[in-house]
Amino acid sequence: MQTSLPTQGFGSDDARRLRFVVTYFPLLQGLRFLPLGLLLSAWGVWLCLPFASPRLLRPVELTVVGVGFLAVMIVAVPIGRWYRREFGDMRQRGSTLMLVVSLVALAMAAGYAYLHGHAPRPPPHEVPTAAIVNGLRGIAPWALLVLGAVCAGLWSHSGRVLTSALVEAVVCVAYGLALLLGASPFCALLGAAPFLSQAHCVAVSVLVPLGFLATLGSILDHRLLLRMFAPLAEDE
Amino acid sequence: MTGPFAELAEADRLIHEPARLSILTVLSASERVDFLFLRRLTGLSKGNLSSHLSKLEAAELVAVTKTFQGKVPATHLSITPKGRKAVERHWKRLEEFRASSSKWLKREQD
Repeated sequence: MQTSLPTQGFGSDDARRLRFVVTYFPLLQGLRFLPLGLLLSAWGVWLCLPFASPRLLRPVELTVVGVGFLAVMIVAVPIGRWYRREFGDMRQRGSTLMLVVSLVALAMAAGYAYLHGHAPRPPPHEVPTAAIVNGLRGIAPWALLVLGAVCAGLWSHSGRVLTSALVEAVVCVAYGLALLLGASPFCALLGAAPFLSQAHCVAVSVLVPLGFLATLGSILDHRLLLRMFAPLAEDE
Repeated sequence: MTGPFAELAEADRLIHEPARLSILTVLSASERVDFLFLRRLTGLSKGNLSSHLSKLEAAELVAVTKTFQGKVPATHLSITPKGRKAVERHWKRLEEFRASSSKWLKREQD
């Protein structure tokens, strides 16, 4: 992979590299997603511990996870500022990014709703959102299909190069579809593990691989970004 | 000069220059970028990039907007509709040239 433009010519490969960086610049800022990966991994590991609640989310755990997500969002602000200072800023064409983010959020909400539907049902006063959950479960297949189509479109648009973010999205889509079809590959493997209760099996089998993928992917994306940008050239 | 090479010679010299083609390619793939982003991505020095941008701005292919973010001056760059059309046409032409030159070379070898 080149780190700067050739001085003698500018070809299709260089153009593809530039289009790729411009299309994926926000997603290539991997350090922004590192805390999220660590949080998801930690949540998954927590559910494996013997003193974790048999329910998926008690109010106390919900609060801790909520605070964790808030911290992830707060930490992303200075990290984003650092990226802007180092690499500059750009605005993508149209609202591609917003569309992708909305669809990812929708798919995540649908996935959560699906997981919640498979956990033991808590008393109504603890989770007053049963109707919303059921509604989200209904749209989960559509959200996953649309997300899959968006991934394919982005891949094609950016010159058919994969980023880890795209790989993660594709894995999520594939895994989400497998869950919707009633199969849980990791859960089948983990089911026999003594440290894992059946109630947490699906959640752990989603959170740990997703957290691990997000952590690893964020580091790889950050390294890719560093390689794609040239060091600042000085005037002679 | 005959064959596809004659076509290449006719290509827009302003756009065909490697640094300017890279600038226009970045701008055509985005809505707006700042000066630092363009500098880091193209690997050009400050003076070199400014010089190319001036030429592109004079040809109305690029729009330069200077603002202040607090007390810090910021330069934002975007491609004009004329610039977008020109660079898209140029890339299409280059692809056509590549295809026709492959055919031409094959014919010459036979």
